[in-house]
Amino acid sequence: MNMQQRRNFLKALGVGGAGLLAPSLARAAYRPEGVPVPTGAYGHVVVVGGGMGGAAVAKYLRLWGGSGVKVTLIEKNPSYISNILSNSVLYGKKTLQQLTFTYANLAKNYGINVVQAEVTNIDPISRQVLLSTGARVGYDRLVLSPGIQFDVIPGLETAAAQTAVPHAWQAGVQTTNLRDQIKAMPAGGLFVLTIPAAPYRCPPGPYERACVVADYLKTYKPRSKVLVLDANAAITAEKNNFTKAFSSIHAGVIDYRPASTVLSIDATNRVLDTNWGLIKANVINAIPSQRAGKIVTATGLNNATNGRFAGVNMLSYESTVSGAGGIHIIGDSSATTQPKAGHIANQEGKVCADAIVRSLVGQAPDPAPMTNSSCYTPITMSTASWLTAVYAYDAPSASMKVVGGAATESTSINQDQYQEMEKWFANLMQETFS
Amino acid sequence: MTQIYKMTALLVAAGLSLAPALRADDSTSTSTSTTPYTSGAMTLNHPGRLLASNCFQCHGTNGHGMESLAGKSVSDIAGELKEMAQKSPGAEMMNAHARGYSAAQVDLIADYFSKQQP
Repeated sequence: MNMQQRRNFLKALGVGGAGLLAPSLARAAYRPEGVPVPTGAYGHVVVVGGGMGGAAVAKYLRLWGGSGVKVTLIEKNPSYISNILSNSVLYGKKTLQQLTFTYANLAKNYGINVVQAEVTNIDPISRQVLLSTGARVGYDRLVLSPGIQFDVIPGLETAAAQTAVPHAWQAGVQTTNLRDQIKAMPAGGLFVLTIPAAPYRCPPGPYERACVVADYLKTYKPRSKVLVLDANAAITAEKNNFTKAFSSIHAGVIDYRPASTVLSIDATNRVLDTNWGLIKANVINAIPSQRAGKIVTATGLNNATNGRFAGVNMLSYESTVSGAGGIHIIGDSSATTQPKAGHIANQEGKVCADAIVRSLVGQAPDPAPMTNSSCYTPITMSTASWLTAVYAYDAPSASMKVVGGAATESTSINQDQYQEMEKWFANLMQETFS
Repeated sequence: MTQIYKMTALLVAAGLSLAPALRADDSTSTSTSTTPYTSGAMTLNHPGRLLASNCFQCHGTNGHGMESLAGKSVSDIAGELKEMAQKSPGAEMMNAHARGYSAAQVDLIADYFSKQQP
């Protein structure tokens, strides 16, 4: 595509010039050239869920699929609120607005048809999805990236109880609710955080939350304590840094207890019934165990992890349920050896997009895909650590395995890494949503 | 190799299915061509594309982001990655990433970014 053709293409999309892109970075926003108008000659791919995985797979299907691949992205919310960095809302460093991303750039830059609706049903035989609006949308390939749904902790069955005892594990009103409860805590109060058994979304996330809440309380609510009741036998991710944080940086504030059991929670009186006895708290942040998004379980694709997540072929992310051909599941809903987290969901989206584009033109998927997981973790309100791993497809086990040694955590916790975290976030979100 | 990518891109753009003979460009051999790829479609079947996309989360789509990689020379990118792989992995996140890729994969990634318009 030459410059004139490109201008014509952009004109056809109703795009006046590159200046319309929201410049979330100092450098000029980059717009990939050569994304032709979709004709759907090879196929129509429907993507359900506009989070980190869904947005990325939609973008790369168009970027790599050329004119032949038409993409419809169906998302129930008008915009995406990032879970990444949402802990920084709790200590007042970020607002939800700063973590909100719309689908306008995906529609504009890549010709993705964005539909705001909920998918209520999937018919894998006729290859159609039924929307909350009553519309039916046919697909050649379907990608499900709906994230997670939460199990109910005994005692927290009602909406009122879930407001009194928030999880704040899906950024939005739950996040600001928890922030407000922490703000209203008395000095010398008790904050209790409960962590579910793995696998759950964002492995280092709960420990990060314990750290930043402890740091906030030290400053604003002196003599307060953070009690961490972890269902796991030990810290599940970034063990060295969190051990250091719990035993030295936040010593005397964080009381970390592995192998904990929460039997029930009395939301009205904020009392937990646990293996340690009854515990009365000022604020309870209970993170429930999780399973694949509703549409995945409703369609019967949850055939792994004791029925909690969806088994997929690691070369294509296609469901391993027989009769579910053409349905792919990426991100937190899928059962893989990779962590359930936004940065790697973006890469899963690219592996899936590449496999779908190849299959639509009769090619086999890449036989050796690689992915990577990276995250920065605030340990205090101004310092951060990081954790990263590179994964490669291992043919004998048909799974993704960490390569280049084990997952690596930073050897230090410092302010420079907090700044790097901000840059990482800005780049990751730009790459995913524009 | 370059010629094959171009032909493939043209065929795809024209809506034609790929002839089996052209699937050879799925091989993981390293292209040493220096011809710049001026559009996304031209990199359609670059064998390093999916591999290199692991860098996009931080370095931007096709290398246009933080510490931009687009259009940098193969020797610059590959040289730096190979150097990083020798350093302490916990000191810098990139040192840990660099250890995850073989020398051949590093060359392929570098070739991909060198062919992107800066």
